[in-house]
Amino acid sequence: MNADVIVVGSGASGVSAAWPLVAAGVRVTMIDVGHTDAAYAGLIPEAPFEELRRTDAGQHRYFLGDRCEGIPFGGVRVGAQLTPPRGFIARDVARLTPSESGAFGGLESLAMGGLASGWGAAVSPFGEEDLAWCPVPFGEMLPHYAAVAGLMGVCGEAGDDLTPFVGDLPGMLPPSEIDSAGAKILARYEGARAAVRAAGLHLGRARLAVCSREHRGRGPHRGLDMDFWSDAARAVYRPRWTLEELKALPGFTYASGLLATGFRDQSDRVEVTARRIDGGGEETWSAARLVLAAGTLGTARIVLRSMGALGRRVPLVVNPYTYAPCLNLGMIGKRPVDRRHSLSQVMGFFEPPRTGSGSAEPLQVQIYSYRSLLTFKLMKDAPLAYREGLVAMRALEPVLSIVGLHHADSPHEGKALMLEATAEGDRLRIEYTPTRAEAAVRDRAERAALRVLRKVGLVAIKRIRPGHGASIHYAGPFPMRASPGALECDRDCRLEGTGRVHLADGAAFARLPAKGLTFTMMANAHRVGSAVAATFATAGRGGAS
Amino acid sequence: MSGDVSPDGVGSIEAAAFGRYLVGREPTAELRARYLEACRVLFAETPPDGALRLARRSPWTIGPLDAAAALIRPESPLRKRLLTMAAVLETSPAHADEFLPRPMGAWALAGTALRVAWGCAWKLAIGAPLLAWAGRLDGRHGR
Repeated sequence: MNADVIVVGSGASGVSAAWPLVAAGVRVTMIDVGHTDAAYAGLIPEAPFEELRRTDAGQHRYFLGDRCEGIPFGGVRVGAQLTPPRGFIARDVARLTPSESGAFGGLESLAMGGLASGWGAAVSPFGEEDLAWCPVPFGEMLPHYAAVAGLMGVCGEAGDDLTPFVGDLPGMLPPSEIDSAGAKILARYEGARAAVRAAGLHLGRARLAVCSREHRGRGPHRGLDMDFWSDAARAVYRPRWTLEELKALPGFTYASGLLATGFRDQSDRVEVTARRIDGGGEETWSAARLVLAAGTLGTARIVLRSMGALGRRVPLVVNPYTYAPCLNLGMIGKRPVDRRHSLSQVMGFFEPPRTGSGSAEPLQVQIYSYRSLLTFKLMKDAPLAYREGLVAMRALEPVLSIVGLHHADSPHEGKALMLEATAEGDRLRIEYTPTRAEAAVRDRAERAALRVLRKVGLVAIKRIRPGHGASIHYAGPFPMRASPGALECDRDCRLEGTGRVHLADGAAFARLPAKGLTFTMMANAHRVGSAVAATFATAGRGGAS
Repeated sequence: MSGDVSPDGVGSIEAAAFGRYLVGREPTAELRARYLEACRVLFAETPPDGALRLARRSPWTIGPLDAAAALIRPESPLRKRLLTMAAVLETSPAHADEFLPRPMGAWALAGTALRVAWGCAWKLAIGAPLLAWAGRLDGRHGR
């Protein structure tokens, strides 16, 4: 056997599952395609955004890209936020893992660090109610939240108005610096706190996977406002940082250039087939256990192919997402400070008013400032002549805040994915059609949220729905159940019908509250890794079955 | 750019005219060359349409055609090329300050809004018929 455990994927869930295994002395091999950015990272000086803009003669290379891939044309699309230095995240996906998704913007990654290489780093742990469907008691998740927070470095303000929604993590780092626009919003919130809370809106400093002070040799964040482009001081968490730590530990092997395509669950081992992406053919790896962490869509592809379930529909859920450019009235006439990060400044939750037709679930609110994604991209979306558009957008930028609204999602028959056979090989087909009732409830909730946000000085200019799948928080295909059926998981995320295959990514989550999945998915992956490690402690190197 | 990408040719004249239109001054030869290279990468398969040909021939029409296309044909070749020039200019130190945010008070903001509205309105009034006429030329040339 090549290892005690094979982990497929090096993203947020892969490294989180691998960590407790390696810590317990289990031999782990991580199979991964592992694309990295070889083109741009070395070109970006560690300097503040405005300084770079005024001094770096080579900035067009990384801002626009060598193939001009940073100049967007067409409508708003999923993944549009990937800047040229983040382009490696989606490299080769269409070629190696094809999908047919219609209006659904499915984004996958074959990169080292996976989709979280471009993650917005917002940390919002699920609460007891959010996990009510799950066979794992909430209390059992808590130590794993703490463990991954310790690996990542999470900053935020304990005991603020967000605590009832996301709790307080032990060892939380102090909040990151807030920019002028975020500070104005929170000042207005404090001034009208009782009324705003009574209207259902609760705001606080964003909880972020950002090292606000040095943590595990990373950070502190330098406030360069270059987080969409580079990883200065390695202050914003990327799974790559944990992977680097894992590589330094005995018993861990990173095998890159390999696309895992399937598994065979045998009585004494599990075999994993993987294709060399350089054209070197197929290889078979074996281990006592397999942990799949290839991302919800990637894992679905591997499981459906391996379980002989071509053509079988499985559920898919994804947080519906809308964003609204807003005028931040508190910033009129104010010069924003240059020092800032580019991530969410203010986080919040909005509890929509109850209506006769039932109540909507809370919405998560993320508030960003706009600057480092460049002015010409704003000009593109304004229905103005570009000369006037430039004048208008330069004037608007200091007072422009972007409000992101995340909704909860539950499965129903209109939201599904399936693997279908084609002449060129199999292909993932994604169907995602929310019901009219769901759409209406979300529309009402958004309108209500934007009305209440006026109380903190945010006036929405318009609402933009970038399309289904835009949040990139996918889940649902093989949910955890207390008594799992076919294509479901048990409480340790062991896939029913297999003895040795576990899922560690979003694929095991049945539904999504209006919170980013990443942090909870990492905590669950850590829990799965710990459970698998425990089987070796009790059964020895043969791997418990 | 369909056969006109030489730095000394019509492409360079287009780059100069687009730069003048956007920021009021001609880009340097280096930026013009960068624009031409971007056009070669992005628009090699896209032949110029009537509006773009008209803008090249008569640079005074760029503003009106742009204003009209912003509402009527936002994905037109002219708009795409203007956006490309804006991107090239913005990511050069020489033009950084012409693109960085410009904080202003409420009255100045209102004044800017009026100036922008007026600028777009008169350009649109001239540009809409120009754009329609250029579109008919396309039809006559079999496009």
